[in-house]
Amino acid sequence: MYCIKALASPSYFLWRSTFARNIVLHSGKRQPGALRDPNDYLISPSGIKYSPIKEVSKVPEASEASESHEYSGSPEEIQESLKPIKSYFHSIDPDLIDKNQISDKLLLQILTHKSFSHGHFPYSEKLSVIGFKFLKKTYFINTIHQSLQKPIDQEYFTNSKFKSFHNYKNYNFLINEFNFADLFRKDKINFLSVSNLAKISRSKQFSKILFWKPTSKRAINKDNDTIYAEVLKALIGALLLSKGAVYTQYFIEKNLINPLGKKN
Amino acid sequence: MNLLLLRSSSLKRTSCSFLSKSLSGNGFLISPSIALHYSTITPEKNNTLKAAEEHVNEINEINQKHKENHASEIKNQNSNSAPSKIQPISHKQTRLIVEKQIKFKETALRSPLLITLHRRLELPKSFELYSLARCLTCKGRTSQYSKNADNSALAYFGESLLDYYVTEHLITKYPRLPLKILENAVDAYTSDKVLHDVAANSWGIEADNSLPIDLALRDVDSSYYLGKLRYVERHKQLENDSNFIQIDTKKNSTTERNAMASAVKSILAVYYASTESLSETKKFIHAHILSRKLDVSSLFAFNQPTRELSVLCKRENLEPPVTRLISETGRLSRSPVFVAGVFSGTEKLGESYASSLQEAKIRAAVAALKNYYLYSPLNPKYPSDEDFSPALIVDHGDVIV
Repeated sequence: MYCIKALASPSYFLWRSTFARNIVLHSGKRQPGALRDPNDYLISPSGIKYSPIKEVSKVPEASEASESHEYSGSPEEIQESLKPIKSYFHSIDPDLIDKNQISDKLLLQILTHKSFSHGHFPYSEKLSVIGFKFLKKTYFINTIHQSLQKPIDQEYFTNSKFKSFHNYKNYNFLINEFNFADLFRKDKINFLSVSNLAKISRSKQFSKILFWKPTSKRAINKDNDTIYAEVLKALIGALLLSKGAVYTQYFIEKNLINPLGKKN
Repeated sequence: MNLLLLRSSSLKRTSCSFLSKSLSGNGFLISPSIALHYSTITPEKNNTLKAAEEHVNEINEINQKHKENHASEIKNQNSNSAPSKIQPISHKQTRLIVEKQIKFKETALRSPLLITLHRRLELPKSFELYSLARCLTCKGRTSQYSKNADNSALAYFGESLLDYYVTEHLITKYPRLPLKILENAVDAYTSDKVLHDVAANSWGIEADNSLPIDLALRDVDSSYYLGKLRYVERHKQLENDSNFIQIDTKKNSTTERNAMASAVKSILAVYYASTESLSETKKFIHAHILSRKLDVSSLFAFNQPTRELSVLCKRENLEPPVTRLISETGRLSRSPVFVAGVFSGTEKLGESYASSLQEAKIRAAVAALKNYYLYSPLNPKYPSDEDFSPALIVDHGDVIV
């Protein structure tokens, strides 16, 4: 009888009209069946808050009803989390950021690893695959073009490439003056290794702003080379798909290959 | 005992090789003057030999310069300082190398198989025949005239070109393809099995399947064999028997399939080196490898299509999918047909038919997923095109169910 009275009362109908679904977000330790508060887990290992950029819903009315618990960051939060990567891009080429040639959404995707939030948000895996293939191709072409220098002076013989007679013999089997044997040099092979790419990624401070989920607290302090290398590959992939091969090749040669070449 | 294993054809070849060796012993076919005599046949040969002679002169000049520099350095240095570690290459050594190179190039020019393969592939003139011979020479099969001139470095370079251009083609044509399907599709164009098919059945490259004893007895650099794919075949270890020649089974050995694939990849590398144009190389890859038909939709296999579709709809901010029966016939008969469609709000995502309601529902979900993943933009531009614009669609990543 009590239930019937409650349902028949005007306050019940008022409640139904204002609240479609009552959702309580749980924070703290995980509880079975409880929805977790996104503010609790959408945080990078270094403590930066993840603020997803939500597209305008294609069916606004329906999505409001069914996905009222969906988390979406405020514009200020989004800009705050993208600051480090934007400043890096700005230092390379101011037009990239000033003229919005790379969207905020793509920038965030570069920094998001597949492990973050169970792949719910756009992540960088596919970008890194195409990015690495392009990096490899560009690096190989760059390497064989470096072998184009003709032997005209003493400096050529003092180059490590021709110190031994064995390597000199390879010179006699150049193809259109390109020395393909250079690709097997140790320093050339090492450039494309995961550890070297991770090293570059760390030097560009990407590791601090990366969104990923470590398996444990100990894992944060480990090398995690694969994850850091993937950011760099994804960055190249994103540039390739948005700006084209010519610009990306210029980017790789200017920022990745040549600075290292000078050090060597 | 070993001679008993020889076939009649190989015996003929053996006698020829003995003849050629005896001729070469008397000064035939080796001296540059005789080589020049051969060069009068075609102007191309003349050019190669002239280039080689220039090369000899160039190296001599370098050595002279080097000696002069070295002498001046010694003069300038104090008597107590350590001597330079770099030793100049002797004139005799350079002469030997260049003579061998001339011989190798000259032999390649006489090879009918190389000439026909060059014409068949419509390779540019700058793609020289001795380079093509190098593409067909796998590790372990280099000869005394062409040491260090195998195709391993070329194949390594060619692989990177092929891998990139195939991936670029697929990612431009199908921007939403899941990563696993993309990897399988790339394999369907670039795996050793496929490249073997391209080389053997499309390009007509023949493998040199001679017996090991033939290799030991014949003149390895004869022009005929230079046009064949030359590799060290991987053999099973034979039992210790003094009647058989022992072969190194691990080092530098390969299968015919791998050897053919490496030949294709190295031809791509030399194509780039000779044209020095990435766009030309891309055209060559599109003409010979990407022209093969691949049904990408057949690569899909879904474990939980209905669940995957609902996760996908949630990610793309679409209404949850609902399956509806569009039409049916013969529900009570032996062979009923149900046509089901998956809808998100008023939009139909996919449709299919089956003989049961459950199967029709699953098939409709699969059709909807395929419609999404196999989306292909009209006349897309590749990122490597000069006039590339607008930016390609960047996929969010695979749906994790």
